[in-house]
Amino acid sequence: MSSHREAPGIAKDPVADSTDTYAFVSPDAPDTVTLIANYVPLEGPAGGPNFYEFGDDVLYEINVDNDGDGISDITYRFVFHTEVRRPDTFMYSTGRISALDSAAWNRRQFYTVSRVVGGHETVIAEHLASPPCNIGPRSTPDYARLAHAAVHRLPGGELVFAGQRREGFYVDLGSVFDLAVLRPEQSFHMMRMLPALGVDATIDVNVHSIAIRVPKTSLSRDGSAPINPAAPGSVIGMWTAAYRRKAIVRDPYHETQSGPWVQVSRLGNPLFNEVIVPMAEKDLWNSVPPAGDRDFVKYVEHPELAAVLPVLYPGVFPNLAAYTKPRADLVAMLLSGFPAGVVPGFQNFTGGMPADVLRLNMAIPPSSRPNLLGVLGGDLAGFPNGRRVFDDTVAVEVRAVAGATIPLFDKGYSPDAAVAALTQGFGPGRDRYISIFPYLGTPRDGYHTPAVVGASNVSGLGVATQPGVGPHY
Amino acid sequence: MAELTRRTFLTTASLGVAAGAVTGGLTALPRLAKDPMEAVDVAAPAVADSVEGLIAHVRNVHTGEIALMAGTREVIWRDPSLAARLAHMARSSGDR
Repeated sequence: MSSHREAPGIAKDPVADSTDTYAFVSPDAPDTVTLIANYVPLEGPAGGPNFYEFGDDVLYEINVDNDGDGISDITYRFVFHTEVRRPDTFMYSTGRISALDSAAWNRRQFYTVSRVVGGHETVIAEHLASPPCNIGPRSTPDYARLAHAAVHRLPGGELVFAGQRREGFYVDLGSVFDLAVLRPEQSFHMMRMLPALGVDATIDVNVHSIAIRVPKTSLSRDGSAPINPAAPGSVIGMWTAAYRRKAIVRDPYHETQSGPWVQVSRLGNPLFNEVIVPMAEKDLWNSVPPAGDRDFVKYVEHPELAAVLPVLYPGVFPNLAAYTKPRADLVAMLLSGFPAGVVPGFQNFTGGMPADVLRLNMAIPPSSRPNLLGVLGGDLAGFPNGRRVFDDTVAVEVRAVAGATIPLFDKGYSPDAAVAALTQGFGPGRDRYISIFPYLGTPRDGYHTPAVVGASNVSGLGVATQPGVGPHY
Repeated sequence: MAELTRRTFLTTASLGVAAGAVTGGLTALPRLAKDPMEAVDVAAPAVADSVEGLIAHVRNVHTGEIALMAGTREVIWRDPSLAARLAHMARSSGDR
């Protein structure tokens, strides 16, 4: 997946496992940029009684590099703590949760957000409330309102939210991990099957999102709101990182954590660690900053997937199979940004330091007609110019690895005919997102998800149960 | 965070050998008998109590490299004698 459970070590630590990052000019407030870092992969909405939350013992960061050195210039830091009203019960909710301070919400989480510039940390706000998880129509009957109440405005003009949202990343997990199959193209696979529609494996799961909407003037290197797409100062790089304390001692009734914060997870571009970095180095990659990515350039220049595709799809990718040059196109997409002149009207180049960060040209306004394929689809406001919540990064990166972007840097190369047809066979769906901050949609609730199949009168009540159409009280 | 002294470190690190680590709240912990390093002789519970989550980790017995963590700090000490003594105590405790 994008970065869900992408490394052996971090897969065992979901609250610190970054799953997706997004960075885009806010469509409803284009003088701002929205930065989102998702954690806790594949939350099954019904996963109680201990529903999902951030780690109180994890330090979360959203980092912004505005001078191209792969080192954070501006960091938003988030630290959570949990408060339990009634430790004598096992229940997450003891009644209807109608507000963030509802007495019926037993296990609440709060957070502190600070901004770090030049090594100096300033606490922006403390004891900000996260919303509960979306339990169901009895405990959280008006979830959208609860979540909206958890959008906080900060003194510097930022909006911030931290809590459960619906998974925005859509992918056919069952097929891509079964020997790199996209179901619509599986008749060409070495183990042939009839073509089929893709299956959205993440359509009914949730994540935990940390989202902050920041004025552009707070992110650019000179404090201005960039208006010239060609100016180097218009580009920022963004990534998230999670840290745990270096030492932990566990006793039956007490746990002691101490020492420096040690990075255990990070994420810039989707699928970088997942698909590019080999298994033996994935957790190492998670532990180093983007400025240390020089050691991983070789995996971008000669990606394993590009070598595997011609084998798995015999005769389908002959040009890709014959291509042996280092992949300058992928280095640009993932590690340096596109210099001016490669894609007309676009650049997000950050210089010679290779670093896996999401590069956003803040001077490019939101698109009035977004294309899920982003820059590959002629939409310069989409991935890999940052990343919007709905961008089809799987299709973009699979096509790119398969050779679609090679001609941008090697004019003599002709992509194989199949490349332009590579598709997952589905999109994100109509109700997956919302049009306002934090843009990721209302999380699925546990009562209705997974949906009851067939007749739903098991309880004798005959209540109709379809996803998202349940009764509201 | 209170400044860590070598004396405090030696006291707490020594005490932690059986468990492999030392945590905060060290009041009333026993002192080592016949300690070859006299600095260990003086317990400093007031100072130790003020140190957040004190944990010592013998990283390399042969070089005497010991990591002392407290709060968000980590200090590396090199004391082959202390490390050897801790290792000896660890082996001894394993025989009990």
